[in-house]
Amino acid sequence: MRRREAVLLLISAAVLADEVVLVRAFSIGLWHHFAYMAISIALLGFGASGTLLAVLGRRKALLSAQVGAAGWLAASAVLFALTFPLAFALVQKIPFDPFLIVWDRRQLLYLGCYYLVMFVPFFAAATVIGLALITKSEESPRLYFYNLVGSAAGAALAVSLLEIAPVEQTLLAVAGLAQGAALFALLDVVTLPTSPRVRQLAAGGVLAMLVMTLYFSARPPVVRLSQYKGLSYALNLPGARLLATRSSAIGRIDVVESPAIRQAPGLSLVAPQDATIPSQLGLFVDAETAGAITAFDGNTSALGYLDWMSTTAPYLARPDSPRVCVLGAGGGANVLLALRHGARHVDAVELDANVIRVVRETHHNFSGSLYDRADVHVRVAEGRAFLESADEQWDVIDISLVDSFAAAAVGLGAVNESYLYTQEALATYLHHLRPEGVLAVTRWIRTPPRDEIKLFATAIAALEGMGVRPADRLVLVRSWGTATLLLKREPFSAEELNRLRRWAEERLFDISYFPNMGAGQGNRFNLLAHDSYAEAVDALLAGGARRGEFLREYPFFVTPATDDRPYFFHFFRWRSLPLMLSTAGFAWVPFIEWGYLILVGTLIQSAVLGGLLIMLPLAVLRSKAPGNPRYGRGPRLSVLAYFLALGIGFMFVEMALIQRLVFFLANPVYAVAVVLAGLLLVSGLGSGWAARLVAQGY
Amino acid sequence: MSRLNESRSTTLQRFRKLGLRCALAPFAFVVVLFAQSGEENFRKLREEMVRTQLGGSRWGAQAVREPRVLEAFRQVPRHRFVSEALVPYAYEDRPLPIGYGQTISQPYIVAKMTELLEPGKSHRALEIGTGSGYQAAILSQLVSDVYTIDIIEPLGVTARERLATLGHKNVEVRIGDGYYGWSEKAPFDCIVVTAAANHIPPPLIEQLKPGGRLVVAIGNPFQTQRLLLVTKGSKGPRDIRVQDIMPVSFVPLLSGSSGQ
Repeated sequence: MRRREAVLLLISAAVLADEVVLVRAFSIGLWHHFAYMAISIALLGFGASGTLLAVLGRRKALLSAQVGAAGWLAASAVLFALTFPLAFALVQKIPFDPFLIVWDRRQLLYLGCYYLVMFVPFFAAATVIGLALITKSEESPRLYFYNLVGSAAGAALAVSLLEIAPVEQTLLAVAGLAQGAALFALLDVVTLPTSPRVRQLAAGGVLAMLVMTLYFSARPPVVRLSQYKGLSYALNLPGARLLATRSSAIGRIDVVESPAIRQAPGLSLVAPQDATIPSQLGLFVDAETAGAITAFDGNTSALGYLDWMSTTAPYLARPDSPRVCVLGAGGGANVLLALRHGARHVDAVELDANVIRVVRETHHNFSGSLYDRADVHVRVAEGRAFLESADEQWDVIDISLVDSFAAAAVGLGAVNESYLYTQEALATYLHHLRPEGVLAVTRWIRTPPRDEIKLFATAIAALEGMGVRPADRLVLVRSWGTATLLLKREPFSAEELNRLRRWAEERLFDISYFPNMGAGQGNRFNLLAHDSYAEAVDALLAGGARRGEFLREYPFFVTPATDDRPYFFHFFRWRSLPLMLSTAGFAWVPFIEWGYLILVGTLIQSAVLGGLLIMLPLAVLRSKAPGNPRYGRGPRLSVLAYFLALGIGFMFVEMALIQRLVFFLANPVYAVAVVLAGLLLVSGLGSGWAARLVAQGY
Repeated sequence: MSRLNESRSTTLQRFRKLGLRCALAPFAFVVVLFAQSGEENFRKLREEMVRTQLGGSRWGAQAVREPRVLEAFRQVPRHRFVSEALVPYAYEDRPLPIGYGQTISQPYIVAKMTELLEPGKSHRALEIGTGSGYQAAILSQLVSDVYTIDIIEPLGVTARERLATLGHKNVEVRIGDGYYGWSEKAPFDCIVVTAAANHIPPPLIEQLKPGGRLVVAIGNPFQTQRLLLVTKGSKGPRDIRVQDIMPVSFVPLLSGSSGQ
């Protein structure tokens, strides 16, 4: 491998790793939807660099001279190595805040600044790769091999590094790769017969990289958190103390102590004074509230407050529940609930090993060794995947408030796959219940209702798929803040229903649906002017044309999610938008799934900047050289069509593979890493093979 | 001699002062004029805010109609509750940041919450989450006494000074954890809780008078999606109802879905 190939390999690895690092950083500091921005910024850089190379290509002398091409390449590599960490540090100073985006027009300007600042390193890196390919176009298959294999290695390396180091340190490690590439590129220049001035410039580049490395080693850039994220708010509370921070590729976990932290989702308004919430430590995932670790001394009688939340409902339906499975165990609130209700075997399933570690190791005594008890069995796995591979059955399977209130409230998951709430998933859970067992799914209530209605529709589809009558096997309990759906394989007995109704009434919870309920019984304590729940359960249970009409006409998309279309959080209907806007203008904005809003905003911004930085210069270039066949319409259109088709095809294959692998690998981060690294690696191997074929004269 | 000199110097000083005053008078007049025209502009903006954002037809059935509440919004200078940089936006239909991850809610939300409380002249009100002090200032125009608590000290201190400067003498600000309410001043006729997320503190329900009303905004102030109105009846501590009040009218959409 020559120096030029080494440069290509390292630069490609650094670029891909940079994208992965930015995805994590944006998820922590902003919202994970801005993670998509990292990809669009990178592609913008590559597009604009292509335009630059087209301009340089007109001045052949610039590239044809050996030193000229190597010099440009080295300059670009040094620019990348310098601007990559600098741009990261700089964007942390831009006061962009996604919460303000619809209210404050300046935020669009700040977002534009994000683009422009982050654009520079990608532009520089793309120029290195482009120059390497242009100047040795006859060797392009071989060069593509290094480019693609390097990219594959970068994706794998970034995910591996993120497993062991925080995002800021991973960034510095990746910056090391970029500097390695720049050093090789500079070496390539200085070994050529060049002027002393070029050597001086090369020495200057090395010195600048050294200074920057020393500076960032002493003062590493820190991801700036939006002041409206749960963690920022918690740290403003009196006596707040950050007790622990752990990072992995899945997310960053923070634990905060403050006497003002209290987590009791949807707590009954008439919870008695003796049902006080014990001391709690706030748990945050990617700086968003993700429950709490509750002080526990082994005495479950001190956990009375748990009985005043709708999450207790399954234990009323099934008071004798020796075996319980809690999916998304987190800080352990629902594990404590199971223990309080006499469970003798609790499987606590949690995706993020770091969550388990902070409870088990850092707060071992505080949590009463919850995850080390003989009757609690910790399973680090994705919930659905765990049950798919399990042979056991449980009395209660509990899936409660797996996503944070903030994320659910703004509809951040709108465009994410989720295999946890599909029709097939609910069928799987039901198959893992003992005959009298109960499946409980709790979600935050939103107005107008969507999550619970979609869940209800999905439950009906799952039960119908099992060939049983759904109307006898469903109960929907609703507090002012949360709703818990109960599903059974067998019909609910009259005794179970009576117990549930008494319990709910005592807590001022409504039962929006129970078998054989009368009209108006589900809207007694938590009053809705328009009882959408009653209408929804009637229409959905009626089946046939009435169900179809309801699913078509409801203002939100509540058709059940399936494994083929695993978008449970997709509620937004574009066709509702005109009516929303005509009704209340921008007051509707909070009710739109922000996932869509952000994606559309990102698309518009990148299209505008792409037009300015890629298409406009090319148009100007063409207008200045109308007679030059190099810029003629015919060949360019065919080239455009070829690469457009290739690019779109590649992206479609990539997206479809990621979606499927999320299911099989049960982890979105690993799925993306495997698909990116895998596809790029085999593409690289293909290029390497093509290079051999070319060499052999094929 | 020295006395004469002293007297001369005093007279001279007086003349100087008078001269200075005369010289400054036109400037002072202009400043006052500007200030007055500025205040007049703000008054017009408040009137416009009340007309278009609170009582306008765009909100349909959800418009704020209570005349006393609308009058309070005409009186309280919202621009005095935001930082200088945000004064130009003070009367726009939007929430504004006040630091520490807190906001001053958009005028409509503050007005709707106030109207839902049905504040009476003799009422005693409790607010959890003072923030800028704007909601407390509005309430002070409508009730007898306002007690407001903020957990973030710098916000509470600033709001206390601001409310005192603006002459809201019936407002008492406490810095502390609002979870337990203000038992020494309980019971309250109305309680307002800004930006609650995971639960409504039961002690607040206990401190509500029979017949009292508690209003809580659920979620981040930039995305207020639900307003809950909790009413306490006179039939005992369990005579409590919660109404889900949608800040914007969903009726056209939901009616369409149910075939009405």
